[in-house]
Amino acid sequence: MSVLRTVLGVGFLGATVLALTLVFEKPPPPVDTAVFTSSSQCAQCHAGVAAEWAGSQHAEAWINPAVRALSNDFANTDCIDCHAPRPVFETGLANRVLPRESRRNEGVDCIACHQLPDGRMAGTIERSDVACRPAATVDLARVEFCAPCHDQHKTITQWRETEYAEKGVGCIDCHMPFRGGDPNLGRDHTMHGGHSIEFVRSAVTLEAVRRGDAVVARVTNVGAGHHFPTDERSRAADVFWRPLDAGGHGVGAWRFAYRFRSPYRHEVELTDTLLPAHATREVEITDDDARGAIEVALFFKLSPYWTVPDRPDPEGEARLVQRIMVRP
Amino acid sequence: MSDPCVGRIASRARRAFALSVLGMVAIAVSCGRADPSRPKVFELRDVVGPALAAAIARAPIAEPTTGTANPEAVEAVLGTLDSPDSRLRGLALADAKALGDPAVAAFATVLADSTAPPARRTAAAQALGAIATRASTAVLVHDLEAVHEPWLRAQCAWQLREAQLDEVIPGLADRLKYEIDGNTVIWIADALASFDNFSGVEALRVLRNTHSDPDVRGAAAERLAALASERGFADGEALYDAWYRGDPEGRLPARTPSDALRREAWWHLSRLVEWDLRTVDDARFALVHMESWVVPLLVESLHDRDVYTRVHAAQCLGRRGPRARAAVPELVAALTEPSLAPQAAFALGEIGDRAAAVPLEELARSARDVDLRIAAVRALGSAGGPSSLEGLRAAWSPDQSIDLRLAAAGSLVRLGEGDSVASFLLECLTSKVADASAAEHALGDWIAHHADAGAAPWTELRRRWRELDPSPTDVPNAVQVAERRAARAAMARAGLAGTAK
Repeated sequence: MSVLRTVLGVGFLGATVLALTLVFEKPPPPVDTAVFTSSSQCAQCHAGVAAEWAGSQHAEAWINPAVRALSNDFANTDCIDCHAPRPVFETGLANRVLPRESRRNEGVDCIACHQLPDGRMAGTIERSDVACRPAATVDLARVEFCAPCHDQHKTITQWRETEYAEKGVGCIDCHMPFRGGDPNLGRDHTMHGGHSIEFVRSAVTLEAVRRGDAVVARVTNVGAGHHFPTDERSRAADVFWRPLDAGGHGVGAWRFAYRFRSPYRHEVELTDTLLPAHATREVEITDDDARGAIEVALFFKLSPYWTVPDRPDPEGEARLVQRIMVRP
Repeated sequence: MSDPCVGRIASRARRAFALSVLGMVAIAVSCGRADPSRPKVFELRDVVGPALAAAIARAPIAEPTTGTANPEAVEAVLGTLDSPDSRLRGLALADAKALGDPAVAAFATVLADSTAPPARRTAAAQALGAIATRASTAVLVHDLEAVHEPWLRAQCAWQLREAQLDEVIPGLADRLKYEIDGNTVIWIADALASFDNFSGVEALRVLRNTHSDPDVRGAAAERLAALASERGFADGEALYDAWYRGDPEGRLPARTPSDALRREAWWHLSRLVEWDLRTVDDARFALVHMESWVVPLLVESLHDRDVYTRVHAAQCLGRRGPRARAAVPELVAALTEPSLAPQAAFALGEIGDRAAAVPLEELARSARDVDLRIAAVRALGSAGGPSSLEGLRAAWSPDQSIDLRLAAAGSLVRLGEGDSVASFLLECLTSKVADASAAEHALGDWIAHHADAGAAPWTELRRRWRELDPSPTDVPNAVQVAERRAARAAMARAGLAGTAK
């Protein structure tokens, strides 16, 4: 019975092929499609974009030494999901990504963001005459597209509480602006964030005023569409101060005043001190040495620890965001 | 000139006809393939939701208590528990038990009050331990994480041991992931062991070997030795070995879990679909550290309709290693389910059972999905044997992708064939296209393999190699990583020169 069905099936298939040959006067030209197994294939046509991405933290997601150290060399395997993800569109928008086994050293690569379940590539145009067969996909621009990874540290949740969300200003509007401000030139794939100190500087302002014997430093989140800092419990921003001499030079070591950070789960003695978007936090400096001229500075760190915890060296181990002088 | 509109209609008609013909062809072909010898489809169904509902029906979650205890009675218990007279303290514990759930809120308030004297907070923890109900142990589990004072967290662990309700096991195990106070870890490990769960033994070994405080090192060593002795093992290493090798000789006691503990296991399995990866990993961690009765639940969850449940259940089985040996047949079956196959292959590799070698070898040879092929090749490093070598060498051949070659080289190292791939690994160590970290690990394994064989130059090389391991608190920069790899490349070259001789 099974053999008979197979013979009938094959016979029917032959007849169908013949019918199709007769029906189609001229078959459409074959599309030279490709199976994409590495982002290096994308670079063959999109060299400029690939070069931007190569300088981004997405490209470093698997190989960055700090990431490797903080994930215990990915022995914390739950980190792999976002640091070497399968395509976002495979599990769908606003769903968690799953980890992949191949090309992990490419990190968050072209395929992770652009490959669609049918093998086409999500983009801004629709074409079927090129190997990657781009499909115009508005979902690429949605915050839900970034959420599978970036909301693991609550960045998208933070954003939802801001005016930016109300106005529809999403992730890519700041982190992937149009090249040269021109929509025709496409979006910048360098994807600046906390690793760009200029970008960090644009997020906050630092002011300081005298109030009685104290100096009050005021940090305001003026530019980040989420908390400052965000995305990683390892990131920290610290307010330091030190006296100034008559020549306006800092005297002695920097003195710690305040830290903005979300603590790890085991740090039960710490509280979350991240600065929400649009918010201002005042830090009071009441030391006797602060009665004279002082300078106040805000530093940013990608890892929370100081080499010598009791004697932090912000100039050596962190990056200066803002500095301000306060005279008596 | 033909009418373009007529042309479009004709074109659509042709397309419709072609599609209908293709549909019929597909039906005919599928009829021809109706072969009973085809591999069975890996069934997907609703597993965790119904199982959790049934588990809750068997062991309902305790309702919050509404009554309140007499404040004077509560105060009397707290005051007496501070007494130096052990007889009076015993009576106070009996009184606390008699007060029961209505007193839980009052004792919980004292326990959480950071301004209260330490003796009073300790007494509150003891009272909660004596009450020994779901409500009172829930407070102790919560405060095991939440209170700031390490001595009080240790006290909570001790009282959970006293209460002896096994449903607290997941909560205790979870703290092994986060607790940083050495003494508290010792009491957590001890409490777990009181339920015949020895997942804290590994932490005791770490504390004994590496803690900076000699008192903690000593206490951990003492507790480890005592646990081993109480169970009839020669030493802590033997106990550790029995637990992590899945107790092949059946020396460890096996308890039947209560319905409440089974409910907790299903609840943790239901958490695998959560958005937050830390929540998911907490659930995974607890499921990995439960006793072996949880393996059939994980196996069943491989069939859940939700992809995250399936994938994370497979990861749990993999992380259990040999303690999930009973899952091998179902994991082999899962190799046919595309959404699960790479994780099933990973799990089979971690379990390391040779029974999986043949199906993994088949996938390493012919899987079309590159992720699955790599996962199978990696798994053969521990689940494979001599029959796997040919396939691994084929996967390592230069015409294959760099990822597959690197995975195959790593597995060849683990199967004792490292000399043939060491040069390749050395190239990968400084390559920009290969995963240099994977190459570094494989080279370390290669040197360790030779050192384990006892050759003096290799033991020295291994010592120098390990010296360069970054400390847990180091966050090296790219320059430091490059320097470390250059130094290790020199060591590997020295090793290669040795094998050439």
